[in-house]
Amino acid sequence: MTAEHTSSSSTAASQAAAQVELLLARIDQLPTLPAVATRLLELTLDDRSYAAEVTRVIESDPSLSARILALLRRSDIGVRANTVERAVVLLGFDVVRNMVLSMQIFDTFSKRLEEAEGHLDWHGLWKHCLAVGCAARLLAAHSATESTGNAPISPEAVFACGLLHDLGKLVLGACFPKSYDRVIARVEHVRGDITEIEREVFGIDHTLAGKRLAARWKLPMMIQESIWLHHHTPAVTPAQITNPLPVKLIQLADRLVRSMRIGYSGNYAEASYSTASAAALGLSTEALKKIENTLPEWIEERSAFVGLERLTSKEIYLESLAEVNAELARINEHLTQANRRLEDRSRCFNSLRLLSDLISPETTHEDVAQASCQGLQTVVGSCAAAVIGCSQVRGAIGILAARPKADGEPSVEIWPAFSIAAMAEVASPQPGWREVVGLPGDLLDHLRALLTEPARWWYPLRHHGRFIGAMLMGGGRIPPADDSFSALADGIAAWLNVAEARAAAERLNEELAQINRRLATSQAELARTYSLAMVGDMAAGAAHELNNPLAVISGRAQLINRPDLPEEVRRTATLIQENAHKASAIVEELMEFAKPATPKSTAIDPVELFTQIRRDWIENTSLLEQQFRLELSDGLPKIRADAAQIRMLFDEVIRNSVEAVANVKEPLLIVNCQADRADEKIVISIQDNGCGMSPEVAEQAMTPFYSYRPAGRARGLGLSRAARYAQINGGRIRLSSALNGGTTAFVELPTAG
Amino acid sequence: MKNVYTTGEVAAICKISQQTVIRCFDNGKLKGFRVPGSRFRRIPRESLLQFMKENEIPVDHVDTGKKRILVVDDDEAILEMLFELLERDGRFEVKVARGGYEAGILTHEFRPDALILDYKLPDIDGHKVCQTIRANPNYIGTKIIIISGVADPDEIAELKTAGADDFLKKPFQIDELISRILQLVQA
Repeated sequence: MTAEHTSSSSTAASQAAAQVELLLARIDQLPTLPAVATRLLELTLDDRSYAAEVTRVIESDPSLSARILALLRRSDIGVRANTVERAVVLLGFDVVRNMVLSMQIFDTFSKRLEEAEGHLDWHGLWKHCLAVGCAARLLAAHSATESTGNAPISPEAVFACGLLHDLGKLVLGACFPKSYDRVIARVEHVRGDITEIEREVFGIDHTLAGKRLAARWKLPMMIQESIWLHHHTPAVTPAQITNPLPVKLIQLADRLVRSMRIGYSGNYAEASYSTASAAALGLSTEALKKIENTLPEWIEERSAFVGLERLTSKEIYLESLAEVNAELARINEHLTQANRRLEDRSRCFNSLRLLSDLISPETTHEDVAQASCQGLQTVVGSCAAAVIGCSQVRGAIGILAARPKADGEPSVEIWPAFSIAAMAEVASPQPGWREVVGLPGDLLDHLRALLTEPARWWYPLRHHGRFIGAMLMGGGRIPPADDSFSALADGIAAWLNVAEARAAAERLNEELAQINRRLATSQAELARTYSLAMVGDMAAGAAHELNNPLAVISGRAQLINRPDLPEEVRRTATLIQENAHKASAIVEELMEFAKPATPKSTAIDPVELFTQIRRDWIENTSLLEQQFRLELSDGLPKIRADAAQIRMLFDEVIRNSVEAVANVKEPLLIVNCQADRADEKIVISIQDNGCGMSPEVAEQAMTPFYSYRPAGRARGLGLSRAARYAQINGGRIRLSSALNGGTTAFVELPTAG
Repeated sequence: MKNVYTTGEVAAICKISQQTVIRCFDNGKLKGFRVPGSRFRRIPRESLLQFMKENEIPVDHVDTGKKRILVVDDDEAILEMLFELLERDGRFEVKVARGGYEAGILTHEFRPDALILDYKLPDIDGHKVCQTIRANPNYIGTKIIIISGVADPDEIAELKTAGADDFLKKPFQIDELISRILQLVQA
């Protein structure tokens, strides 16, 4: 007879509701408790029983009450009986006995309810119904005695309403024991409103199920409405109902009983009742207090008639207290679970805080990867973990932090680019853990080595949708990924982004520094050119100004120098004249250095040039043939330069070398030419085995008027003049020298075509 | 070069009347001789020059047989030195000018065989002097030697285009200077 439909989907729920409709139509009976039936049977069989006693017993059983009242409707005796007492009087003992006999039929059914081993506490539910009936009766009695303008109403009628108010639970529980068990379990778990869970599971709740059955059984409207609306509050109770007062009394009674925790209603919906709604029924706070106090006695009295058990009011109190304790324990358990969830969250947020402490203007990908790797392990428990952050700015690399299960700092290293690109490709756009399927094999192999176990799960990290890295985990269980965890993931992603931004800023800075350095160099160059131009102008002016007096000095010295004068005078005159010419030559050199003549470039054959140079130097100095070696390879390109200036250039460089080897036993000069065709230049090295220069001297070697030769020194324009000629002909000179290790001058000049 | 002058010629050179020349000849102030067998008076060159000097008559118009050199420079010491060395040589008749303007006047009056010209002058520069002289057909034989403390090859080339014949850098060798001058004026 039972149908099990448990799907929570809406179509399944509507199917379940349809099933309920079918069952309601088919089941013409309401299951009841055999104890009540037995006791009632005893009473009705015993001639000595009083009508009032029978009434109480019947009234104490909701299904029996309903059955009797339904029978009254059906008997069509023309009298509308809406109380059990009246029904008994009207029907007489025989009728009641028939009823009880007919109820025997349900014995098996009732037994089956008990044998169903369901979680629904029938005993407790029964007590709840009894308590609500009693409370409603008391409330009705007080409401009637206090003048409120309410129409007088039979307290026993209200008792029947209260007794039957949870008819729906009886029918759902009896017809769908397993499904109803699930409802009970859910209600216990979420501590919620039972009607909501019933609607989830059956598509219909017990108020509606009860109302339908009551309607089918044609129970009095007062009872139907009480069943239907007992979970409503006075405020939302439909105005057009025929019996507003009993409905409101049942509503109040249900809440009163539930708040006192008498019996088992299976409901954790809000049980408090407002004194305002009580006042609206003409019930003062004092009256409610009084009812609360007398309620256990009433229940004791009525349960005695039921014969189910005899409850003392003390027992009712104790049981109520135990129930309260049990609920407290359940609430405590609930809180413990909530606490555990909060702890998980707190771990996430602690990790987040740990990471945010780390953030500074200097944070690198490495820092973020390392800290988030540790944070990840804190959150997911002791598990091998890795975090990889990718950086486009740093050349599309990955920064990988990994830590095996064992303790220790996570290792950090750079992982090459292609893996990151491959990861980005397979990364799901949705946040969450995925199996590592599809990740680059080399990365997984590497991680296995780092983590000492295979990485099984990965979580792509995105910042504003852009793939920015990933978290990876070992272990068999899928790691948690609730809201707080995704906050951690977003945090890590954001920090990786910060690190990336910082890297970008740093790179810009470096570029800026480089540009500044170049600027400084060109500034120095500009300053040099500028000062050279100034020196040139100055030298030109000085040449004119100085050469006139020098011409006079020289001329006068020559005039003095007459053959008839003493030798001493004549020698002095000669000296004066010579030095005047030397002074003039210095001025001229300086001018030439600062303002050299514009080069008249021609194509110069290096072989011819150096052969000529070598010949001239050997002729004019003490240098021997074997002391001046030429290393000229075949097919050298021609030099594009001013022939005269280039000749002066090499003469200066060679002069420097010749002076350097002055005190060397076996002096050697080697001139070597190498073509650098890629750069369209020719590199000529002039190597000597002379005294060499210290780094300080080498650095200054090409500074005008700098000379390291102490006494009798040559004018200090030699190498600087050479450098100047190299410069204006589009080349340059570098010196490589070591003290006592000889000097090599490298002269770079452009090639012709 | 003329070595013997008539009284008429002396009168023209000295810009005095022939009677005055005769009177001076007759009273012995102007030394000379009579042509044998006639009364014609003749005056040797040396006597004429002596007479002109004694009477402070400019000798400019006497053909001395020396090369006339005009030295142009704004530096007094240079002028003095050059004047002295050229005079001492004995083969030159030397005048000096301190600027381009003065050089122009003296070129007209003195009719030099050669100018020794420092082209950096305060008023009219050497370049302009060269051009002006070359523009006048009267001075077609006048040689120009540039002397300068600055020997910018480009400028020297320009000056030569403008009409300069030679260039010599200060300071210089006296022998070099004189040989250059002679080379030019005797050509």
